[in-house]
Amino acid sequence: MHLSASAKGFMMMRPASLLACAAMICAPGASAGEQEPLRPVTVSYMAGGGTAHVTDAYLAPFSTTGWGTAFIYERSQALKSRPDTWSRLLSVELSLSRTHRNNTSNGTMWGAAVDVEAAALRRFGQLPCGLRLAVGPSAELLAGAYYRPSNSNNPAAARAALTVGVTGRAALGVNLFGLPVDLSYRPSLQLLGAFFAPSYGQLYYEIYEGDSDNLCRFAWPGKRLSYSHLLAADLCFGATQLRLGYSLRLLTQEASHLSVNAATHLFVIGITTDFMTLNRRRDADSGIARRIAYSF
Amino acid sequence: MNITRRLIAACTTLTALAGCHNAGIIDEPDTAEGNFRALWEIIDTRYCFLDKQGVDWDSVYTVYAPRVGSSISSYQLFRVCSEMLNTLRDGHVNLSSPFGASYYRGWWDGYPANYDSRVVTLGYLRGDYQQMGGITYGTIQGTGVGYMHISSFESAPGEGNLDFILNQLSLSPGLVVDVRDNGGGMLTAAQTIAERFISEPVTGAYLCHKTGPGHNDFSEPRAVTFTPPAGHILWSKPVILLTNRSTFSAANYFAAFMRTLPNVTQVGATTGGGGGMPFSSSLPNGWTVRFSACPILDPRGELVEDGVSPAPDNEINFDLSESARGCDPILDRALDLLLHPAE
Repeated sequence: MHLSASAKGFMMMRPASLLACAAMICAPGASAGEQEPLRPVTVSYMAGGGTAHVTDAYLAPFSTTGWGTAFIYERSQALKSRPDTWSRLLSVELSLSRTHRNNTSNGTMWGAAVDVEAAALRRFGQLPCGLRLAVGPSAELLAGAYYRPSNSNNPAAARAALTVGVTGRAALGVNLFGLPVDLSYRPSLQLLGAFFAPSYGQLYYEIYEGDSDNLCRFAWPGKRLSYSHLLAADLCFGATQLRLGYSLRLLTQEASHLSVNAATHLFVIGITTDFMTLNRRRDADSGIARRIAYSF
Repeated sequence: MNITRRLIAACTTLTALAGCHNAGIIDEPDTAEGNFRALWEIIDTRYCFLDKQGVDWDSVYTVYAPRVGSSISSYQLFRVCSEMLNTLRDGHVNLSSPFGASYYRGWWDGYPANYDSRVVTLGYLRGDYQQMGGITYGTIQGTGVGYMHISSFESAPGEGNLDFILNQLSLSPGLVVDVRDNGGGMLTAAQTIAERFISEPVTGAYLCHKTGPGHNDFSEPRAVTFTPPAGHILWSKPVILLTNRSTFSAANYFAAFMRTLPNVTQVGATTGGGGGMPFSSSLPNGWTVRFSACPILDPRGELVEDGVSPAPDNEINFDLSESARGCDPILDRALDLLLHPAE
């Protein structure tokens, strides 16, 4: 069985089932690199809960605080064209929040959004200290709304943005009381793009009637900045890892003399596991060793 | 090391560029003074008729601010804030609190009622009428004239409902559309009904909005096009539109459009206005303030905040004694115009 050096370095953190699976399709004595490597998909499902802080001056000129919750799906895989150095990452987050003015229980504001981020990460191998690093460009699509039922003709403010930025990842494998733990930190900073914002006193009815001038704004760090990170610990109990983490999402934007500031702090819990698709006819009958290229 | 320094410099620059935006955010504490200042600032920056109403808002502050001290009770603060808002003389300006909502009543309470629904339904329709989707309709007994009272635009009637009503009244020589005591609702509901009285797309109104916190920061007025619904019954016979002072907001919008149609004549009293679409905001203590934010202009490009008036010949007011006798002089005038158009 032949495994690349980089893959061997990561094997201690991977489920035993994956090893067995890989071994099944590897014939002794075959040379590595003659076929494309196997590229397992690492998937995480997370649910989170915590606090949300929202200010949307279109709806109300004050900050609101309350709870936030989210469901996060994350998927990563080594790139087919450059499996040893590049990975792709997809993250989908569905979030819901309910906030109100700090000292009053009325004026409730609901927030809901779907956030899709795709990134290509350049891996830099394993540093001497055991740290694995990756960084690369990313694109983020955000769609959602804030809703304040007590408002009359401005009860909702839509949110939409398409931005590009930088996403990174750092991970370190440690051993905690005999339990392998993979610590990871994944920050994302969205810098440029476009976002939706109505004018200062514009009605959505006017937009409905066709007044769509200047709704699409140029996003740059002076007008809109979005930062998020996920700090996670994957506890390797077996084939599936238990993930515990902290998710932070920050947004500040300004358009037409109105600001939107939002911050959510979520404690997340979930599972992480690897999937690998095998083509029985091609892989099992070839008799050629296949190495494994992990996404990270 | 060089790369590290550059990274730190880049992060610092980004942080300085973005910071945390605070445009439009009011940083006032939840105290009597803080709430008062927040209310004053919301109106100062977002209310759309300050200059049109001729209100010197800075002077208003100097008059009312001394009445707000740290020892003032919440109820007293509500009273002071309500009085301050009433200087705007705008029925769309309200302050909602646990005690109730402030409301400027001067736009209608100094005027004749000019409407009694029982006089119409019992005296003129003789109890033979139907109600559907907020619309009371029937035929004025002894005349054959169709009558339709729209009590509210809170919800839009279905197109099928309107087809049925107009079909029922199709044999009438003319139609009385009564929006007296209609306090408004949704512009889309008003538009849905108004579009039954046109045969081709027309400009129904102009809307504009504030583009910034300055008193005169407004966008260019933008036309709202009314389009007759395809495949539905349209009304092209003469129409008399009845209005009174309590015809307000979306009903005022409806009247401002209808009166520009060639087959429509307005009869009654000047409407109550309410020609500014209201927005809402809130104070640090959670009270909600509503205020006019987007001026509405009629198809001629004129503001309708002060209401729309019938021609002098058709401006009619009456007192309660007429209603007590079972008479509705405004409706009588409408019938006269429909049944004797040449006179």
